[in-house]
Amino acid sequence: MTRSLALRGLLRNQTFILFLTLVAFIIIVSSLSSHFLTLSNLLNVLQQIAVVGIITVGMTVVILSGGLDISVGTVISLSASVTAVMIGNGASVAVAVIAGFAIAVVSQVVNGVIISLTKCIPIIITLGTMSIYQGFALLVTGGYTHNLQGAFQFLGRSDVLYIPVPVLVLVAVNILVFLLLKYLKFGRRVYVLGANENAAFVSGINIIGNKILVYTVHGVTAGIAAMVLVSRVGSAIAVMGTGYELRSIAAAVIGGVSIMGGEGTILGAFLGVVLLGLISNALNILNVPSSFQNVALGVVIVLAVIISTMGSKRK
Amino acid sequence: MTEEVPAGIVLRTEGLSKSFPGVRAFDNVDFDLRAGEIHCVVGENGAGKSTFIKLLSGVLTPDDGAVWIGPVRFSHLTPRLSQQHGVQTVYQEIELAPSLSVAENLFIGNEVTGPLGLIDYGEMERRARDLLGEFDLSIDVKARNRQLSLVEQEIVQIVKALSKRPKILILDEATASFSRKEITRLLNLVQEISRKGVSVLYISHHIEEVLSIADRITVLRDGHKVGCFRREEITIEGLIACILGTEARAFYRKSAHRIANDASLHVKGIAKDGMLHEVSFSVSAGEVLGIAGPIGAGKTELARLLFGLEKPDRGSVSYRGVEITAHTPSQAIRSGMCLLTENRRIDGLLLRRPLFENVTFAGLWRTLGPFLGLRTERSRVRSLIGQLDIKCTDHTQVVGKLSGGNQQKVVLAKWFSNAPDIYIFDEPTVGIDVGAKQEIYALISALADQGKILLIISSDLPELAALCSRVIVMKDRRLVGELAGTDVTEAGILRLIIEEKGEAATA
Repeated sequence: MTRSLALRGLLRNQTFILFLTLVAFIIIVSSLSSHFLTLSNLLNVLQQIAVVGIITVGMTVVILSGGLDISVGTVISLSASVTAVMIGNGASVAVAVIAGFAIAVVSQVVNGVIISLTKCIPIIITLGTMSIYQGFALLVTGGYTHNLQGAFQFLGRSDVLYIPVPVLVLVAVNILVFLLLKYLKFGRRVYVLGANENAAFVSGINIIGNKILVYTVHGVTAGIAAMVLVSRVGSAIAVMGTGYELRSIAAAVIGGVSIMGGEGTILGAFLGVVLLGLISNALNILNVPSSFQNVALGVVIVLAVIISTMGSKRK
Repeated sequence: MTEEVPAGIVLRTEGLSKSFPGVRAFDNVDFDLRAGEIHCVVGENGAGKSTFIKLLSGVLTPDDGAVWIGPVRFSHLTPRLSQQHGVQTVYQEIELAPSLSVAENLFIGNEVTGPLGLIDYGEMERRARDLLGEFDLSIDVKARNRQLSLVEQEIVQIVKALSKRPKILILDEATASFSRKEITRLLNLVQEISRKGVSVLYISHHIEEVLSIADRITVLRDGHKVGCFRREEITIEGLIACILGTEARAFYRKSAHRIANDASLHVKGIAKDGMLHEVSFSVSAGEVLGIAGPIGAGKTELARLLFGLEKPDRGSVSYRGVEITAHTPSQAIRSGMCLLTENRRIDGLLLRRPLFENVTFAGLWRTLGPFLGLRTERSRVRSLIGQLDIKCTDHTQVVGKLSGGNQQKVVLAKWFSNAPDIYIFDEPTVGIDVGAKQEIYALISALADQGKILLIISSDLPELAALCSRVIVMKDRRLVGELAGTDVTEAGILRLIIEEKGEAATA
């Protein structure tokens, strides 16, 4: 009796469904290609998803708090561009990295301040700031590609104990923010804000301060992601972050994070990122054209939203 | 299967029943509505009036019993079926598009089109004017809905329902927030409608209004039909007694709290323009002060101003000699206040989150440092669950799945964990069953025994009479009277509300 109840609860848990989907997917694809389930390929997948995975962590915190951010792609572009241009102009790597990272944090703090003070809809505000940050990125780069000329390889192109550094950063960021959400008062307030902002206000929670903090966390993860990205690519252009905003939102939603806020976990969002990474990797291995990969990605997102909506309606 | 229907009956229910988790909201009700009559349904909050409307309009499906519309029997009505058989319902809330004109609103979904299938505005406005003219109403059909006064919007809403040519019109608290003059205008319209042969089912808790227009009056109490009278066979006192059902409701007895001699909470002339005129009162430790008054009297506004949800323009609040006028809820909480809001689902609870988070999220500021302390949290929540006897599977159950009474206890637990001195309860027992009500009354009483200050806002007069040592009465956004000691009775409070209404009208 209790066991069947527990089982039913598990089957309604989107993280668990996602985990089963992942396992099934891996079994099917590895029977189609012997390349797929090899250690080197899996590490390869993890390396490919590192940047979007780090961004998704911050995006998840934002969505959990009832917010949304579609400017993060251009924030990545701006942040990476600043670092590359400074290195190209002879600045020290440390200074350039700190500056690029700081730009990302500041951009997101600006988002947070505008959204929390004006109480406007986050998607519209960040639609505006997306354009602003894109403009700055174009101004900084002047429209050219800026090469790092071999500098700053550690974060994107090196290994520690045979594991690529981007993968280590990905794992570390996930664990840190997981702990933050679970054990800190701030983490609890993130969920409270997203679950019912009115109740949060009536119960004396500082809405503005906590929202700004949410976007600050998002800025920190975006800054880290931008540094990993520019180091791995070895150069920067003004549009290098385009698309990350949608992929990170998609990954979070696939991972069971409610777009309404207040529900979801870092683990779920991480599995969402992994599933998206495995799908595009598998389609590559199976020589499926990239235009069809877009179709597949879209199908997965729509299915995930349908499953999670059906799950919450049943409640 | 059509049965023998008495002549002139257009709508009838038999044994109609509906339960919600933990509450029998509507119990075995027989009712009939005759052609062309105005039949009023009255009762207190929670008596089952809204449930009744929703059952008749098909929004809710009854658990048992049936509805006859004309000769046709329905055990499962839908909104569509109900409308097809000539029933139109106008709800309390304005359901019109603010940016559309009166004519456009009247014909939403039913637009007047010309030969090309395009909307013929000239013709539509002409028909709108005719429709309004039928009831001698002068409202500009080209005016945007948001330019109209609330009463005009309500009228447009009623005329819209009439444009479907119904046999039966159901009006839900049509006059809830209007002035006396506006109410008269609306009541005249209702009488005009019935003269034209439409049967009107009029739901209200304004007793005077009901007595002035009704042909017959049905009284609901706790989901039961407790009486049906022809207008000429009942007096205002008789009707009040029937609505309150005093003898049946005396299930809770006031315990004698020790009330401190000197008042410690002083509210001085607190006011906000357009919301509340200057209100002053004082309360002592151990005192339970009731705040009574009709809907729109400013009771909830007073609570919101005291708690800092609205910023007062004037006035001050002090407690034990220290000024605690709050500009945000956070300030109010830190000076020892708490507010149980009128609608726990909207601004009290995190319905999709687990119970323990709901209990502790208002008190996170009380501990030092950035950490939650999960283990202490869990044991504190468990002890509160036991203390308040919250029925749940465990401390991680999602709050939305609890019954209304248990949800209300979770809100109480949330504030208890903050250990406040001043409790403001806005309609603390709305939508919860009798058992849970008694438990909440016992908690209120226990708090008073501990020397806390309690302000109880309620439309439930027996509740106020049972709980409070003193009651202040509000009307038209100001304080109009006070009852203390043995004068605190249901009839006493109601008389004050009605009398003050009369004075306000002559003033």
